[in-house]
Amino acid sequence: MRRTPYLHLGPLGETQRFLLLSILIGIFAGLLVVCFHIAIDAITWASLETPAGRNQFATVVIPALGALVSVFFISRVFRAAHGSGVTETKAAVYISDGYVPFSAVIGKFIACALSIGTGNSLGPEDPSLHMGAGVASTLGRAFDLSRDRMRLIAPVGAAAGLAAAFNTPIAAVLFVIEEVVAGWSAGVLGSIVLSAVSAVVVVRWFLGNQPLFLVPQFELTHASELIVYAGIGVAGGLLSVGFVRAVRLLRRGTSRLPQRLRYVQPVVAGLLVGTAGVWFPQVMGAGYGAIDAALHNRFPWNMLIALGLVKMAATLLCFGARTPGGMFAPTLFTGAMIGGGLGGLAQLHWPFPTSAASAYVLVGMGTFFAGVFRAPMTSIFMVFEVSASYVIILPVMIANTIAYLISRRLQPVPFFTMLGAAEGLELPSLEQQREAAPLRVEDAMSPAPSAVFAKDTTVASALEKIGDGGCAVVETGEGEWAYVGAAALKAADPASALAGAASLEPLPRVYRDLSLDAAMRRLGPHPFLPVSSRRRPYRLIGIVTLEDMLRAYGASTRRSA
Amino acid sequence: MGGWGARGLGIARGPLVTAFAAMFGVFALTTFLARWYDAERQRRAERYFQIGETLASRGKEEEAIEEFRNALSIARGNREYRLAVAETLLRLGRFSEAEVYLEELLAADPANAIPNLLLARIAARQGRTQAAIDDYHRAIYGYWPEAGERRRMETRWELVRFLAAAGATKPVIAQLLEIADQAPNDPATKRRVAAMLLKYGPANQAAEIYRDVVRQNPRDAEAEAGYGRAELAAGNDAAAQAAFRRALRLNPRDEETRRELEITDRALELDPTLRGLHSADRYLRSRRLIAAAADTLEECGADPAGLQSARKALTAHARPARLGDAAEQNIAVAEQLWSARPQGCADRDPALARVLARIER
Repeated sequence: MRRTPYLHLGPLGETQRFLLLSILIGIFAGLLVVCFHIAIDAITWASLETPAGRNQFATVVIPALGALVSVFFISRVFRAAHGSGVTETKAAVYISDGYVPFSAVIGKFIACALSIGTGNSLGPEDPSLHMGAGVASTLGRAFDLSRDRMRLIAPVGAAAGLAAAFNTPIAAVLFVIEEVVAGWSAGVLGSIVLSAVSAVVVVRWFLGNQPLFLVPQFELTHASELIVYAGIGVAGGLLSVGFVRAVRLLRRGTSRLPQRLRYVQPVVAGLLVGTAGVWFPQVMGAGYGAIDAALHNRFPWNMLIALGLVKMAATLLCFGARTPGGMFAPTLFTGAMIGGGLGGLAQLHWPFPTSAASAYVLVGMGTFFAGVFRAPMTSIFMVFEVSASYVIILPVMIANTIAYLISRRLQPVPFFTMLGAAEGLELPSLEQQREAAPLRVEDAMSPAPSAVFAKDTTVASALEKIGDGGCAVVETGEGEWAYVGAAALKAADPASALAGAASLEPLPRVYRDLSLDAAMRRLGPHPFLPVSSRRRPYRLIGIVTLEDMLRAYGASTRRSA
Repeated sequence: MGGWGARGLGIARGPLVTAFAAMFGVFALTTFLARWYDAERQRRAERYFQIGETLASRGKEEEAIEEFRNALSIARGNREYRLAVAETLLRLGRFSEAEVYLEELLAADPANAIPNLLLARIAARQGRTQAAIDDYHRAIYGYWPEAGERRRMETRWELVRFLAAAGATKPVIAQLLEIADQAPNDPATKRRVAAMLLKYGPANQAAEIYRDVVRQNPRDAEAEAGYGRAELAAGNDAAAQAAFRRALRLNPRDEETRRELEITDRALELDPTLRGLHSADRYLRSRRLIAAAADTLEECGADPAGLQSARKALTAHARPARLGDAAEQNIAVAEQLWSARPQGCADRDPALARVLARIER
């Protein structure tokens, strides 16, 4: 068959292949999360919500049994599936060159479906993130990606898994950027977005277009309400600090217990959660139904606060006991209930008009999340995506930012960093990177040389000005500079022009605001780089040498210490 | 092959084929699971709903709500379940909760009349008159899933009752006229409208509607009687008398109409202010009016001194020179007598009371 030029695409580059693979990852992750979601519900129906209805004995015992079996699977069969999933995915990015074994996917699926389906107070999102990363890693290995690409493949799958679980593609992308990748990289952003969108499309195909919560219409009734929302932010921040510290203490405590008790912890946690579930069935499992009920003014303010606190305790027990499962859903639950409870109080006592209780539930949802995970953009966009309301943005930003700042002030180590440290891993966070002052060319540059020569200047004239041993900076065109080295000057005919003494290839130009890292990449074999102004690019305002750059880095570390 | 094969994509064929095969396999499995899941969810949701309906029918509303909520948590898009929750909450007086569900129903289907009607009822119970009126109108002009015309008419009547209770007379009249317009061939509805108009609005409009009914249904005794009452309220006693007579011809057993006719007959005999009367007749009627007033007042225990002077005037035998003026004087005396009547006196002679009330106006 004759090929015509416009049909023949030729082999795709690795970037294009990576993007195509991202779509495939998104589809696989979406399918997996749909099955995961179905499995959790099926287990709940079979264990807790049988046709005969709930009975107290089953409510107490079933979570313990589920935790026991799931922990057995993790510790004996699928060891790679341990942990919440976020830390493990990050470790895959920074330590294991993107390697997540497929057994982690299977183990996470089975163990977490069992633990969450039987009512343990944990969520499916973190496991979905880990499973997505596992699928991506497996596909990446199957397609023999380069090492650099393999390191990036896990976040692509993580975003797909999280987006599918939450049905919030934007929040998932932001969370992976903020927490898993811990940096903004244009190279991986496109793939992450593609995979997240593909996953969400698949999930909506099978499970419908319904949002996670059906949120009533929200209105900001009075400007003074913003004070109430700020108060919710303060409460969310303080509670999140207490929660994270309690997780750290509990995990530390349980890790010191003998190995033979490793199955006892989750059983005890399951029994306690089941017991709480007799009076507060809403705290069992992920708890989305209860959040939806709270959004529909189902509970009075005191019940909301009680639910929030009980859920926090239940999650603490399950997570501290290392029962497989995630934290996203419980943090949303806790924040929603506390926010709704405080909002309900405000409705009774605030002297100005207040909104419906559902508004406070919605805003509260993000505050505890922002405080615990310290992913402020994720928390804001998640509430926005869940509610599809622009009006909610302002209160959410206020409350979440306050919670985030309080958490940062009182709990210096971010949650996932703390979990990683407990596993003996030191993983970066975007928060820590934000705190490092970036170095720029202007921090390193030296003033422009006093003598800049035209191309037709004679060698003799140049040597007269710069003396022996110096190199001449030559302006070769508007905004272009080259140099003639000392050896070339010495060897050249003194009467000849500088243009004849050396090749005069223009040096790469940099600007003062450019990062020092980028400038160093451009330096190459050249002795210096000319620095010009963006306002007047043809004007030389300085030069930067390798020594200048190293001095700047050395001075910087001395300042940070 | 062109650029779309494995080589063209720059990917080894084996992994590509395996990946797509796995994807199709997982897709097929997920489709199967999703179908089962969907069917199971529907079944569970329907079971909860049925239990809820059973509980609600037994008056166990609180428990019914829980079951409806369970159904709704599984099938969140189901409007029937959402409506059931809202209606049950409404019956329990939990208005703020009910409103949330109703607003959601409207968000999905703004033209649906049922949520609008329920919101109108909530607003009415909470005293938000304008909001209730707006919601009632949206319900009236919205979409009814079944028995639309009947439900629309019922809603109009509900709005009329609400407006009447709120003392909003003009809107009541407007609605009643709208109802009459919407039911041109429904004599029962038109009679009902006319009866309410008689209570709240100008009697001539009620009379017009009754007349329409009678024109379309000449053998409608109730309409004739109503027409008579409307004409009576409008001050047209002669027309009322004729209507009452026709009503009695059609339904001789209508005792109320018979009483009305008797009163009207007597009033027509007594009334000296009727148009077209000769002055002599007017004079005689004015004397009869004084006598009737005096007799009635005497029965009621009125002051005898006042009655004495009235009776004295009646016993004078000389015929006045100017009968018209004398009639006017007599009417004034009767009016004056009647104005000092004790409580409850008017009930003794309704015809007399009607004539004197008209004279007073």
